[in-house]
Amino acid sequence: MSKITLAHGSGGSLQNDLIKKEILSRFSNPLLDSLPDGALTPEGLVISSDSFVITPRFFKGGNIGELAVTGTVNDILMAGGIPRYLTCSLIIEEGFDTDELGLILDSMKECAARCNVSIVTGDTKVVPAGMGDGLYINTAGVGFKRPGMHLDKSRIASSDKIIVSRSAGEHGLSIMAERCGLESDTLASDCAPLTQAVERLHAAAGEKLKFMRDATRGGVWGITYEIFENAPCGAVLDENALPVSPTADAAAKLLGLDPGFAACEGCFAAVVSADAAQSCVDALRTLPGNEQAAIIGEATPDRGRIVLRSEWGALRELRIASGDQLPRIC
Amino acid sequence: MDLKSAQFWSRRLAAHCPPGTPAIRLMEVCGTHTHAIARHNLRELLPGNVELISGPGCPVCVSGVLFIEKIRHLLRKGVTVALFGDLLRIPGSSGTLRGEKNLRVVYSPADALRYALENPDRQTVFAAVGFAPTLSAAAALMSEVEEQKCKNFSILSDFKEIMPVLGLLCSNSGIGGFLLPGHVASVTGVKHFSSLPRPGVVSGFEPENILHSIDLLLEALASGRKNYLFNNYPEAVRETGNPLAEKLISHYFRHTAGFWRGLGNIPDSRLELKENFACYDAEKIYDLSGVQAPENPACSCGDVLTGKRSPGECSLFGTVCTPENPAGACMASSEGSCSAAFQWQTGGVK
Amino acid sequence: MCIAWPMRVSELLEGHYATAEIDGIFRRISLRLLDEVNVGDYVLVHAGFAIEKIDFSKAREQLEIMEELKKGILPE
Repeated sequence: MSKITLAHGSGGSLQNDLIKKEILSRFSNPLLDSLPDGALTPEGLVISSDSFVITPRFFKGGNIGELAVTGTVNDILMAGGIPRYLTCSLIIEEGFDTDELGLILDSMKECAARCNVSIVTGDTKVVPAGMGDGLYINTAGVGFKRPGMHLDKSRIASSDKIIVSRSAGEHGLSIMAERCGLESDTLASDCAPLTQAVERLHAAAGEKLKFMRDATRGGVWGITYEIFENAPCGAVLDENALPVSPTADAAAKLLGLDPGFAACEGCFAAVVSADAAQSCVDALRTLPGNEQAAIIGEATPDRGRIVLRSEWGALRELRIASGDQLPRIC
Repeated sequence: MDLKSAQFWSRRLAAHCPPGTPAIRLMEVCGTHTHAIARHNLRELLPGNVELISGPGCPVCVSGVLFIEKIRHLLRKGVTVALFGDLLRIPGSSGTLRGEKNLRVVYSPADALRYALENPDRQTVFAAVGFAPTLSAAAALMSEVEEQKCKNFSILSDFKEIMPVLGLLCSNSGIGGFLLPGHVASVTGVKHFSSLPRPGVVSGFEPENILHSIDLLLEALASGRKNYLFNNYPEAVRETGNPLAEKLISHYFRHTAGFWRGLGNIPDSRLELKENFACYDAEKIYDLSGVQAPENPACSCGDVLTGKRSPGECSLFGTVCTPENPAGACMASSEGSCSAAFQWQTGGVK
Repeated sequence: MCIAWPMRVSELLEGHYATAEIDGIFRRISLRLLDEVNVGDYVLVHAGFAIEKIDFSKAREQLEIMEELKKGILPE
């Protein structure tokens, strides 16, 4: 008799098992089977859906509403779509403050306008007090295939470069820092739509852009692992090439966390042909907030082998221990 | 540490142990060293005849099933329990504490007290694990608890003292020398380790500090200095440690027998609040003596901790026992020997 | 065993507390384990408690010792 535990929802291998065993086994079809965050249909539609639960609901750099819009918008962007329409479903716990709800919906509105998407349908449910954690938001999104963008893992070839669009781990580390009483003027969630970054990257790389994934749960290392887990190539990642702001690094040190595994909400990894890599990085760096874009590794012929290279050149296999990091004191 | 430095240390260490010299086993006692060694692949720089074993210096690792079940018992009574995040990875007899109500993960014991002061109608227990540094923090906190006359705060102590275990390891395993825990020594001083019958070096935590400390250990062993004890972390460790911290610790706490996961009961290895502070001792306030929980018999954490087996030699490693579903404490803590071995499995040098 | 990092004391607070900083991260820490801590001192912080003062001159000496070692002839 097995039961769902919290670890089943935290992005680690337990969650992978759950999805494969219980969900994929039943719903299996060619679009779902690669488990994309957004699906590209033969008709050229890009569809994505995500649910949002976060404590605290307001955090430095954003709130649950902003997260709910950018999260789904980013998933559509990463799947090669231009986001157009969103749905908004709210599950509200009895007793929830209407003013707070208003603030959250205001920032959803503002954020949707920034992303050039319209919220076109939705649903509202109220659950009895004690049955929900204040507010859950689900958004689904629809977009259209971006012309000239051809994202496909099977196109990844040995010596392709892996790029990260900005400094890593700031959403996860900022929230964990806040919970642990660490204060900072500069560390905040990186929560932001990736619209412009994707446009610039696409303009610089064209067809040489092979694959993208936003570094949400599991952080940059976690999603790079997911990209290469079932790609035709392996990967070597340079630990020291990962851009991390000094403040994020300090928070990670104090809490005993690794910035490479901390969640981002406005950062993605992309795989591009080696000859386009530097111009992609340069293009990303012209965008405010993305000055730290960098090449962090490359694809290798060693299929299935994903390794981190230390400063002195030692290689160790990248293992995804667990999706949710807890602060350590020892 | 760059490649050039790595090559330097590799050659320098090799010079102490030319091929043909007998095998040497060293132990890094501290879990934070274990993590740094694994993360920077320092084992690859050691000579082939030098083995570095990860010791029992991860406080969460060595907490028993019973301690976890005592916490669960308190939580289910409606008591708020504040604890360090690592403890949520440790399985009790019915899984980990994840998902239990009334839990608060804290960065500092001071945050636990703050919560108690802000919520005077709630009973708050700080579930304490750790060695000297965390123990000294709790002792300092106790002085504040007394000043504040806080009535709704107590401590469930599984604080540990490492020396009795190191003594045991010297007598029943072939450990030739110890890399000693720098931050413990900041509190206890170097003198604390002077009764060790094997060479020891108190070390800092940067990769080159660790390699330099191993270098000093190998040198001492090569020249037969059995009682060699050196402070290689002088910026943070004084010969006599932190006297104020030691004074506070001995004011509030006393030594008693302690249970170590995989190692069993060890005399004088746990610290509990003294009798006159019983009103802050959760063990006594909530009468936890009736809580029972057997240890998992299949787990070889004991052998891993004593260096008799490597993590890979345990039949549960990587199959039944993984970081997401740990059977034993060495896998459960991210600094545990098994977790470190699982997460940073070595892939060779380029 | 215990994660601890040097932090700079940036402000003394009431009740043996202080604010300490490392690379733009600030945290309220307790100074109860140390005598005479001043603003600007570097302390070793574990779990929100300063457990020892840091003596950077000693750290520099250590670095010099290692650099000296590295100048020596490398055995091949």
